[in-house]
Amino acid sequence: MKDRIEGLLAKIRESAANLSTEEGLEQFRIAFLSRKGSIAQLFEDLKTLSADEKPSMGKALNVLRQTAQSLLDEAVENLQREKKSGKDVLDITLPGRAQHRGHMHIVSQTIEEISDIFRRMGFSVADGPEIETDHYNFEALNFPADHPARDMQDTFFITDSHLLRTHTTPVQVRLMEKYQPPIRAIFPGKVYRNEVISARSHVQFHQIDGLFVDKGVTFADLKGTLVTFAKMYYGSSLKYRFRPSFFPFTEPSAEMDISCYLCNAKGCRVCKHTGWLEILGCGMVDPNVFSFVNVDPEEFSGYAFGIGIERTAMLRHAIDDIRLLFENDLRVNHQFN
Amino acid sequence: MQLSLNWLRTYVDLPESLEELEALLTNVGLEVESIEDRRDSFKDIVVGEVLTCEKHPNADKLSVCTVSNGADVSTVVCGAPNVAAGQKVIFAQVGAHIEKLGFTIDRRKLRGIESAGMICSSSELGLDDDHSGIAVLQPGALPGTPIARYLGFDDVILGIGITPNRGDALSHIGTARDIAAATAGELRVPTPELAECPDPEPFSIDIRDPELCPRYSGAIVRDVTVTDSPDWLRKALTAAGVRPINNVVDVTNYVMMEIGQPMHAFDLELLEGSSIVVRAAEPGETITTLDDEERRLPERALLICDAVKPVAVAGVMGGQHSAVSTSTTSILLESAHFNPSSVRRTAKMLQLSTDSSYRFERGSDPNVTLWALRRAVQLILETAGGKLRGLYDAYPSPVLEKIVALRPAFVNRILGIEISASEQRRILEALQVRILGEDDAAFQCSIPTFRSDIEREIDLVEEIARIHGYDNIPVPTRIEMNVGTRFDDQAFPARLRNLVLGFGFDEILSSSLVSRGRAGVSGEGGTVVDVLNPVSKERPSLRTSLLPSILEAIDLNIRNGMPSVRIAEIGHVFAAMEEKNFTERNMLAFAITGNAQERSWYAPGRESDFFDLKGVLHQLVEALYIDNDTIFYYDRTSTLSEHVLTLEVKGRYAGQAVEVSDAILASFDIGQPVYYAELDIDLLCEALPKRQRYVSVAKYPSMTRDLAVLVAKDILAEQITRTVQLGNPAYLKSVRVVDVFTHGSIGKDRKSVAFTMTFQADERTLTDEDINDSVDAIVSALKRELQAELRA
Repeated sequence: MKDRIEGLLAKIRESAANLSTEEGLEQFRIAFLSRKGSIAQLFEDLKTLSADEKPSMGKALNVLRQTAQSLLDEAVENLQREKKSGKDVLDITLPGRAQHRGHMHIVSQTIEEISDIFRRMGFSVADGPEIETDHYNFEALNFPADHPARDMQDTFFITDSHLLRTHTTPVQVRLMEKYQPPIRAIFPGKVYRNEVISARSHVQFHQIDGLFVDKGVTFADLKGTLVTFAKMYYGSSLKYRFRPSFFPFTEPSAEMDISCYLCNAKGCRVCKHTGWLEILGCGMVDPNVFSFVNVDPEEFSGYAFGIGIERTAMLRHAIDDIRLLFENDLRVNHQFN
Repeated sequence: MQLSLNWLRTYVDLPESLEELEALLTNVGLEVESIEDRRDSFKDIVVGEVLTCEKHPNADKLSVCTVSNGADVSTVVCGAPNVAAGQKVIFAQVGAHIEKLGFTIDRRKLRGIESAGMICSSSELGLDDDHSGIAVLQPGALPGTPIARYLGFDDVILGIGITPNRGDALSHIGTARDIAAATAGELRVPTPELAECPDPEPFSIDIRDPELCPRYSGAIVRDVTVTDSPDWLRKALTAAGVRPINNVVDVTNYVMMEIGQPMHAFDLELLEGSSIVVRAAEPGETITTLDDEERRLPERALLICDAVKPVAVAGVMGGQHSAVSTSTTSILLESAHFNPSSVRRTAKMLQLSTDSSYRFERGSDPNVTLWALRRAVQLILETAGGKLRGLYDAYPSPVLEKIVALRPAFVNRILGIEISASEQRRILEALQVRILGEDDAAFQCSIPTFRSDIEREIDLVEEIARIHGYDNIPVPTRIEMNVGTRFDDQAFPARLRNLVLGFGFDEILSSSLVSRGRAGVSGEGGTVVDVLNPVSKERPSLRTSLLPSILEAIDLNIRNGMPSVRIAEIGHVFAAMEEKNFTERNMLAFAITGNAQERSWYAPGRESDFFDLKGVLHQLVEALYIDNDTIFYYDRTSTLSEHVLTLEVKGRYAGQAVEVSDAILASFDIGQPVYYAELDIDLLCEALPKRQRYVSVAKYPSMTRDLAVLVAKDILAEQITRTVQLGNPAYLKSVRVVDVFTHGSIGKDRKSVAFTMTFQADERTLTDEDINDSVDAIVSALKRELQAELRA
């Protein structure tokens, strides 16, 4: 009897392990727990045993029945839980309900990213008109008439006195007319140059210019701010250099180069094998510019800088043709953001 | 500007390595843009002398030559038609690599005769495109000289970017001067050696406009022999990027590249009279310039004339007629100083830029003309022979050195460092600024006349900064900031952009310049603004609306096979109101075309319609919380469509949403509906609430009541909802159309409109009785105003 009980227990455990369907459960119940099931059969046979054996075997049989019942209950519960989670009816591999997702233009992304760095350094953000006067675009920025400096910026003229701004720098004049120092602002925007459209140049592009005018602003301050910007934007391990340059509206003037991050300054086509990438122009505001807006250069000094957006974005994202930025082929736009 | 390292070295000691020199020049503001090290080029290629030259016994077109390299003689088989005994040639010896041809010279048999080398053409060395035969060198060429040295290729060519303010640096001496200053080295400027001319020929120089020509110096040299320049001169010029022409012209160019003074040589026999007149052009005057073009001279262009006619455009280009040629025996050399603006204006109007105009525009040194003249005469006597027959100098009002006061403390105040007064003085003196005296803690600086760019104290600050080195100005570890007035003009456009991106639009950026025909599409008021000098005749006009840009992008992307295009642009639009009065508005535009929904397992595909656009527009306005001042109109007109939703803010046009008319779409080759909206960003910004205030939320539940009415088909949904709200029915909070239904069973001229109304009270929970009066009033208003019939 004992052997039969143990044999049946093994069989019950084995069957219970494979219970995964409702039919299986029912078969299990019928086979072991029904009135004509194997356990009932053993209870029937219990009657034939001697009085010595009966109590212990009866106890063992009861344990067997309880075990079978609890195994069945557990299986039922498992099956119900599975049903509830819907594992067998929900195909979660079907595609989800799609929402449209907009992509920011890479030029806007670049402007926003750079602007945010300067916002965090306490710069306000200003706008200005794209149709400018010769006064704001050139005269007040110390470009004398008939000076070769004007050749640096081929100009679209609207009238003899109006033009499409060739840089965002005129906004600094407007700001200095409107506000008393301290003035700490950047001014992003679209600018125009009368150039033949090619992979390298376009009739329009974007710049961010910046200005800080206050008492005691120095060239060292200029370096401090721009180096901080460059480290925040390009990474804190970059190498940099400032070298003398020329802009009519700054004196001294400089250009800032960073070590070429495309070739780790080993020299490549993009950095023209110099290991350096030019990232911005800058300098101390020229006293002549101050004199146009009645700021006393003995009391105040300031720095100004300008960053080309397309160049920055193209270098960063390995875009080799500026025309791609303004064609609006969405297969290009979708590659960013 | 192109400089020869060997040439530069004659005036100043250079740093050991090229890297150091490059860093030095770039750090003083003479940016090294390229370095071409030619010293290793043409290895094993030398000057050879053809000793004998005979026909190849086995080939008609080949010759068998013996060629000497100065030490040994080799047999060379040559195929060139022009090879001959006695020539000096380019001789590639065994082992030489001919890069252009991609092979290395080896001994090999040609038709039975072993050839040990090759006689080259100049094209085979990549020097030019002359394929006609081997290059025949100057008879004086020394056999065995490495060809690189013979050609002046044993040199390093520096490409320097000179900023427009640094006219003084446009020469070897000019650059050497900065190097000397930065290295505290010695600048070696040669002194022209020239015997006096005891009995000068009578010759006069008449400057009619001393403002445009402050100085004109000239020299007459007779009995010159015009021929090719000697090797050293050709080499020097070639290295500096100037094409050798003949010894006289080459000398003038050499002096220009040496000291920066442009010069010109006239054939004296071709000048009439014995005078030079410098005057402004008269209306309609013409001259044929050296490049063989007859040019009409702009008014006020400065001319160099002989006694009768113009012979040169001052500072720009000489005339063809009096050009120096091989038959020239007498020359007049010109070394003058012209007004930079005048030269620039003239060159620009003639669309002509020459080495000469380039330098005059940037300011030449009025006080170097005589030095240059003497130097040129000296070199001409050396290279072309002849006799100096007179030196002439018209200098009506000599240009004096400017005096500029410099406070060493000001330098440190601007730069933010401490450079001692003595170091500042050293730098200035190294730049040939003379310190006349020191008073009130300021230097009185006398500025050399070659530095026309230095006029003010701040200009001297830059000089000190660049020679001291920008990199030696320390970077502060803390940023000074004093923010002043705060503003952020980009914050609102950026917020709008983010909202529109969130609604699933891709941002585009397009050219503001569009075609004349498209520029005016959809512009509100004013006329199209054109640029006077467009780069492309197809796109000369500024857009008055973003619509043309949006439609061009849609057209492109449809053609690229995009099933759905949702794009947005933020940009300025332009219009002219009257002469020289332009308006410029910052606009946001967005448009939808194609699929609103792709076919999928959960829904069939759906084409976009107007309500996709309208929904976005409303959500956008809602997101800005400006509803109090915003009104939508359905009864305005638009040039874009007969169905237009107009947005007004504070009574001003602030935007519209339309289904673009077929006519406009056709003009952009678009064959599917496009839904377009535009908004005036600045107007929307003005209407933004200054501050959003909390309003307590309703404490009591709302009730809804649905009604359906039958109305004539032409009654608009807006009319129904307005009628419902007529007279402000008690407790009515909102009304929303939920169904529109037409069917034969309700009559073909009628439609059923169902709407749901929400009622709510602030002070208590409403009951049915509370709103029955309102509902009755609404029903009767609908009956009265719209002849509506209540559906059961």
